[in-house]
Amino acid sequence: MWIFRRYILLVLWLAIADFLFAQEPDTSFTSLNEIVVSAKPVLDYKSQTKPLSSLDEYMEKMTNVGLIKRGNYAWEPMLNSMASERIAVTIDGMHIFGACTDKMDPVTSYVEVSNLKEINVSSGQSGASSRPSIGGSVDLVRNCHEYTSSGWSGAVNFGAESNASLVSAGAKVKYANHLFFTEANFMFRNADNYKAGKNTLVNFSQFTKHNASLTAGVKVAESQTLTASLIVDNATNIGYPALPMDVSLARAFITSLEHTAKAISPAIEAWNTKVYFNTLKHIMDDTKRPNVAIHMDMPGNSETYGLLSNAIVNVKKHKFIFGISGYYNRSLAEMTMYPKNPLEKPMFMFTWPDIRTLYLGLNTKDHWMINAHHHLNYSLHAGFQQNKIADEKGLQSMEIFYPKASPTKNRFLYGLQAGYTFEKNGFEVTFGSGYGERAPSVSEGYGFYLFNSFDKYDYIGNPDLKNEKSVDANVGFVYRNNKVKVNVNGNYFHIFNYIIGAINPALSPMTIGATGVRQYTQLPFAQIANANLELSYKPIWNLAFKGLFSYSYGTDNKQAYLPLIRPFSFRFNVNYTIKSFDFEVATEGAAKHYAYSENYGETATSAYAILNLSAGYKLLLPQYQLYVKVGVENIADTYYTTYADWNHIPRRGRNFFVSLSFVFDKTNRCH
Amino acid sequence: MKRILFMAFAVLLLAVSSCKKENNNKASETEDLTQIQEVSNANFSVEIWGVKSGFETGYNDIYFRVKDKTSGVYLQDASLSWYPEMHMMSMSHSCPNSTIAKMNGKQTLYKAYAIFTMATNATEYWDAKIDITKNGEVSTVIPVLNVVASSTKKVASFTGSDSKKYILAYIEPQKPKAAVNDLVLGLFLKNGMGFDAVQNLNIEVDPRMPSMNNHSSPGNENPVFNPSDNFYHGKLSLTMSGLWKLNLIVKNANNDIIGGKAVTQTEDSNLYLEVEF
Ligand SMILES: [Cu+2]
Repeated sequence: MWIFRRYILLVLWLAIADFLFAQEPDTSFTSLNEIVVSAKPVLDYKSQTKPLSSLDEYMEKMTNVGLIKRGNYAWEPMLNSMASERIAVTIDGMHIFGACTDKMDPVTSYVEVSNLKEINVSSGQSGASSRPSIGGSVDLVRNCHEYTSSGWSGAVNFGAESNASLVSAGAKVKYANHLFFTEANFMFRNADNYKAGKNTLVNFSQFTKHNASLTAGVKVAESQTLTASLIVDNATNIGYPALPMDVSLARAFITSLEHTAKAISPAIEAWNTKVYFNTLKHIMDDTKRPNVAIHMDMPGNSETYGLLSNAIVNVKKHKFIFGISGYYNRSLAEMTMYPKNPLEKPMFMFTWPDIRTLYLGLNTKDHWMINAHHHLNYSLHAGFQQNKIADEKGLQSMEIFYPKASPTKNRFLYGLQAGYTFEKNGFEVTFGSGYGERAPSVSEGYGFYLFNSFDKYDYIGNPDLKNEKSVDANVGFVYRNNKVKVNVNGNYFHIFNYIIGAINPALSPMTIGATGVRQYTQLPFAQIANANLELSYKPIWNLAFKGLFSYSYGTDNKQAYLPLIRPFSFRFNVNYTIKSFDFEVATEGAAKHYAYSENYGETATSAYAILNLSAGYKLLLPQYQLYVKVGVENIADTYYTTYADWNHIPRRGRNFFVSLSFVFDKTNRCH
Repeated sequence: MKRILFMAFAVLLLAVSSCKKENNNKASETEDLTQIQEVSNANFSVEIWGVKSGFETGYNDIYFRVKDKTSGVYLQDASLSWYPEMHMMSMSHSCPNSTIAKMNGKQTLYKAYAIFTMATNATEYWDAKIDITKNGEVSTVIPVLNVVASSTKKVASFTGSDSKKYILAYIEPQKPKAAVNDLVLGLFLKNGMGFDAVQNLNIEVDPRMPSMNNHSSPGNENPVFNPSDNFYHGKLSLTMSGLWKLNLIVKNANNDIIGGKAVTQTEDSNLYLEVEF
C-alpha cells in the first residue's frame, strides 16, 4: 500500500513523533495514527502536542485537511478544499449523515479521539470505494482488538485548559482473553465561552459533550470473529457564535455488527462483512440569543442503515480488494417559527422533506507490486443511487419551485482511478489520475429555504441537478535519508457540473435578514488545486525540525474565486527530547487571504502567525505508564481569524493546558 | 323451537342491517358536515348544515335538508330559493350569494353559498328567507343566521376609483397546504340591495407573510374570471404554513387601478385578504 501513501493517506502533522518515540511501548489508547502499511511504527497520542485535544484539533494538523469553524465545537472538515458535500466521511466505513441542515454536526462531531486508532484519508477517487465523492474520503478507524490473554487493562485521562475553562476527562476499561474481548470507553468535555486574542470574550461558544463507546467481540471459530459496537454521543448546550442559533441537543447512536474471517484460503487474506445502523438527532435552539427576530424550532433527524462487505485477495503480486457497499438514509428536518403575535398560528415547513437515499455500489481495487521499485494501483467503482421525497407535503412544497418535480430520482455513479509510484535510493515519485461522480447532497437536491449565515442567502435545493463529475490528477516527489526528508506534492481537480447556489432575484427570502434566495445550480466547471511542501530535518537523534507549507487555489468557470479556499499557510515546529522529557516550539500562520469569493460573502482575512510551546514528561514502567504534558498556545494572545472561520469569528487567544494520562496496560497493539 | 330461534335471529339480523343501512345513508348525505341549526314551520322542518359549526364572515358553503313534517321524509324534489339579509339599525342589505341547488350525487342535500360581509352584533343580525316550493305550493321559513367574525380577513368591501362599491371574497383553498394551491376569489359589484358577479376586471395577488418580513412566494398565477362559476381562478403558492396576507390590486381592462396598491418596502396593499393554516 506504500504506493497509495502519498495521496491516499494524509499524515498527521506530528508524525515527527515517529522519529522521536519509535522505541516506546505502545499502549494503543487515544492514539491517532496515519495508516502506514510499511514497517513504520505507529504514532502514539501521548506524544502529541496536546494529547486530549479534540478530534477536530487533530485533523486540523493534517495535510490537505481544513476545518470550517462555526464555534469551538463540531468543526466541519474539508479535504482538498472541498467540504461535506464533496467528500465522504465515515466511521469504520460506516456512512453517517449529519442531521443538521446548517452543517452544525459533521460526522466527526459524533466520535471521540479516544475511540479511534487512526484517520485514513484518501484523496480524490482513490477514496471513493464505498461512496462516490469528488474530493476524497476520510475514514475514522476505531480501535482494534486482538484476542490475547491480556486480561484487564485501562486508562484514565484528564485534561484542563485555561481558555474557556475547558475540562476533558475520560476513562477506558478493557478485558481480553483468547476468545473474547470487551472495551468500554467514556469521555466528557465541557467548555465555557472561549476568549479570542486580546482578551475578547466570544459569547455562545460553550459546549458540553459526553461520549460513551462499547465494543465486544467473540471468536466464533478459528480465524473468525464477530464484533458488536455501540457509540453513544450526547452533546448539549453547544454554542455556535458564528451562526444565529445554537444547539440544545446533538445525539447519536451508532451501532454495528461485524463478521471477520481471516486467511480463508491462501489467496483470500480476509473477508469482512458489516451491518450497521445509526440515528442522529439534532435540535437547534435560539432561546438564549438576544434580539431574535423570530423564535424558531429546527429539529433534524438522520437515520442510516448500511451494509459493507470487503474481501482482500492476493494473487501473485496483486492485492485485490472487492467490495460491496449499500446504505439507506432517511433525512428529515423541519422548522417551526413562532410569530410575535401570539394569536397567529406557528409557521411550519419541512426543510428536508423526509428524503430517502438508497445507495448500492460495487468497487474493486488492485495494488500491484510490479517489483521493488515500481508499484501500480487502480480502482473502479460503480453505484446506483435513488433519492425519494417520502413526504407528500414535501413534494408539494418542492413543486412550488419545480412544478414537474418527481418524487424519485435515480442515478448511476461511476469512478475509476490509477496511480503509479517509482521509488529508489530514497527517492520516490508518484503520479495518478482519476475520474469520479457524485450525486447532490440532500440539501443541494431538496433543501428548502436553508439559511446560509455566511453569504446571508436562503438556499433552495434543486432535484433536477445532474451528477457532478471530476477529473483529478496528482503528482508527488519525496526524498529522504536519515536526516532529511523533502516531500512536494500537488493535486488538481477539474470539476464539471459544479454544484453551487446561484442568486434567483425573482425569489423572496424566507429568513428575516436574508439578502435573497439562491437556488442550487451547476456551473459548467470549476477547478481546484492544492500544493504542499513538507521539509523535515533531524540533525541529531533527539532534535527535529519540520515545516509544512500549503497553498490552494479554486476558481469557477469565469475565473472567479471559489469560497473557502486556503491561502498560503505554514506550520513549523522544533522538537527536542532529553531523557523522559520532550519539548516543542511550534508556529503556524497564513498569508493574507486575497483570493476570496466576494460572490459568496467572503471578505479578506489578514495574515497572522501564532506561537505555541509545550513540554512533556513520561514515566514508563512495566505495569503502568504516566504521561504529563503542559503547554501554552497562542502565547502572544494574537487576535486572528482565518479563511475557514465562519463569518470571521476570531480564534482562541492564549491558552494554557495540562494533560495527565495514567495507563495500566500491557503492550497489546493490533493492526 | 329451532325454527323460532332461527327466525328471531333472522329478524334481528335484518333489523341490524337495515338500521345500519339507514345510518350509512344518512351519514353519506351529510358526511363531514355539521348541523348548524334547524328551523320549521307548520309543514316543513329545514336543517341547515355547514362545513364548520357556524357561520363566519366571508365565504360560506351552506347546506340544506328539508323534512316533510307529516311524512317524516326528507324532500328530494323540492325547489328552494332564499334571500339572506342583514338587518341593520337604519337599513337592510343582502350579500353575494348563490341560488340553492340540489347537490349532485345526493338524495336530500341542497347547497348554496353566501358571502357574509359583516358579523352579527348586539343590534344587527342576518336572517334568510327560505321559500320551499313543493307541488306548486310555497312555504317559507326565516331562520336567523348567527355570523361570527372570521379570525382572518376573508372578505373585503371597497369603493373603487370608479366610485362603485365592490366586494372581494376569498373562496378557495378552504384547506390550504404548503404547496401550489388552486386559488378562487369572488368579485362582486353592489347593485341596489344585491350583488352581481364582476367579470371584466383583473385581480393581481401578491401573497406575503407579514410575520416573516413580508416573505413572498414564487409560482403564483393571478386569478382570471371563469364563467362556469362566476369566480376568479388562479394559483396560490404558499411556502409554509402560517398567516399569509394576499395583497390585492383590482384593475380594469385599461390597466387602471380600481382598488388596492402595490406592496412597497413600508406599506402593504390597502386591499387584502388573509389565509392562515
Ligand atoms: Cu443545526
